[in-house]
Amino acid sequence: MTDLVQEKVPSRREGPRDTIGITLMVSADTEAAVAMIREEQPDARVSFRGVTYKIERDGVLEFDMGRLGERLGRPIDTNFFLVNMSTYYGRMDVGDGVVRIHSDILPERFK
Amino acid sequence: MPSKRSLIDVHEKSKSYDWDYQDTDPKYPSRFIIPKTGKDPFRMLVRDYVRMEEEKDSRTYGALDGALRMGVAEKVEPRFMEALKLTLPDLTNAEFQAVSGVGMIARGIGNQELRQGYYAQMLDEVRHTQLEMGLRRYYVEHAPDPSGWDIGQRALYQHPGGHVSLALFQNFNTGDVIDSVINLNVVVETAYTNILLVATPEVAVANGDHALATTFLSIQSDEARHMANGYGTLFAVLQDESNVPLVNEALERHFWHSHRGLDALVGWQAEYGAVNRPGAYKDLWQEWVADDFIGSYVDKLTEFGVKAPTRLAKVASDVSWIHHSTAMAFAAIWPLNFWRSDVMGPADMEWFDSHYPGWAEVYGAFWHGHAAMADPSSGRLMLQELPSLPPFCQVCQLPCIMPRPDRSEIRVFEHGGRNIAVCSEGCDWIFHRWPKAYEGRKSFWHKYNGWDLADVILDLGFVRPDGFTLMGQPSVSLERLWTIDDIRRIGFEVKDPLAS
Repeated sequence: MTDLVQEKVPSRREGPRDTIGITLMVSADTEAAVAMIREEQPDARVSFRGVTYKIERDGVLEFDMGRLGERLGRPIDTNFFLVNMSTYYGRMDVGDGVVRIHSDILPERFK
Repeated sequence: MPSKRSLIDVHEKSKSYDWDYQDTDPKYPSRFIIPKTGKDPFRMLVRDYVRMEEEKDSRTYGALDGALRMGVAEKVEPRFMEALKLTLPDLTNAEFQAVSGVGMIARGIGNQELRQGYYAQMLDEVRHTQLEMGLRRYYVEHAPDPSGWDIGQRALYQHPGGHVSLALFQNFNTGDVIDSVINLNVVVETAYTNILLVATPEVAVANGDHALATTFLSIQSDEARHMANGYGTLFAVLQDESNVPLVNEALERHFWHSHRGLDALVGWQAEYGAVNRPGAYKDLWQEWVADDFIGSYVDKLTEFGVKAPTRLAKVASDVSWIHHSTAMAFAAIWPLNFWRSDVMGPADMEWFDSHYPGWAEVYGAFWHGHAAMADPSSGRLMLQELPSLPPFCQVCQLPCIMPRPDRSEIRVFEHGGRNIAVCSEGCDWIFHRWPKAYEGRKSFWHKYNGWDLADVILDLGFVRPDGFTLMGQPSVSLERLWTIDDIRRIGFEVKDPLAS
């Protein structure tokens, strides 16, 4: 390695992170999802990126389609919710009416 | 309307409709033991996939119609759109290479659940090429200076910058099938598409291009499922301990190569293609690659034997510089480009030096010189100022001035009766570990050794419809454009630096 090398990968010094995240492009669905997360999971961190929202949390993020649909005033399923998702990191699990992202190697079926 | 049937139940049932290819011999043999098990985190069904993609297309093409009504193309910063003339065909090449790559992967993995995810991915890759071509058609018809957009894909494959794209993305469909998954789905799509397709739209909007932002974000929504395909496959192969060293070796190889190709080109687009810069590229890399990919993905797999790439710290260091060196190289060879390479003015220089301390000392004089030679009346090219042309790396195809021209790590050696150059220890390792994959590439300088620069440009076809005005220009100003006669008067001869 040359003298250009700088130790600037802090996450690696701390070991694996428990943080997971999702990025949603700006839309009416997303605005409702962001409001829902702020209310239901207030420890989640939401940052606006010009055309997207990045939502991050330690442990798990959960989006319930039933409750999201109530906020929107119309039904929405996991497929239409995922139309708004640009990216995520963590362990994704799409189930009946719910999208979850886990920090741990969950659900059990992945072990 | 949302489906009332249980996704979990239907997905379980769909896996019972199993089948295999009549000819099960893979195109390339695999070194990995590939278990038949594997899980798709999205539980993707064709039924749901089609609904979802139809909705995405409706939204994206609707946004393009809106961009047309609002005259977005006319409002984009010219500097941003000029850089896109290289990077958008570059991305289309990646999609194209991925189409055949994913077909190969689906055939090579005998697991119906994972296969369903890969079938959807292959359709995605086709969709992405269509979206990108739709965007490019929009630019051809509405950009204030469309020259270069019309020949973008052909030009990409002729240009040294396009060779970087070819060298990187052909690995998607060439070689061991799991190696391809780790390259495409794990490294490129999980680590790097976030910078390209999520962070770049923020830069695009800051520079007036809402059409690109909408298209890229829609593309990335598919990439998210591709990440899951890679994750599911990775978990499947990690069930067999004999695969672990192979996984780590593939991760090492493709992380380094992706860093070289993508950090160079995406960083260049994000900063040298921008007038308004929301942030520094190195900070994007730190967030999306170091923290999110390494910290929350790779490091989470250490209990299964996966190791972070050993060259990670070196990558973290070089990512501060290689796109600046790439920008310098592209500007130095501007007559060979099919886009206009803008000058960097005082505000740009101040921004670069404040975000990358030491930048002015390394690159400042070059950009002053580039600005001074921008007008054809100067009668000078930066190429004339160089002691020799830099060789291109046999692996990543970047010019061997990396990470910085004053600290080049070039290595030259004889192989198969000819001189070979690599830009770094990382590319040197890759070349000697997989020589057959890289030894055959011919160098751009080798092809045109001894040619007058004007004849090279004509051979490439990088002239405007009048037959003599160059597509490439050393600024975005359209007041006085360089012509083929201006170049011929200079009399610059291309000399292959590796010629014996």
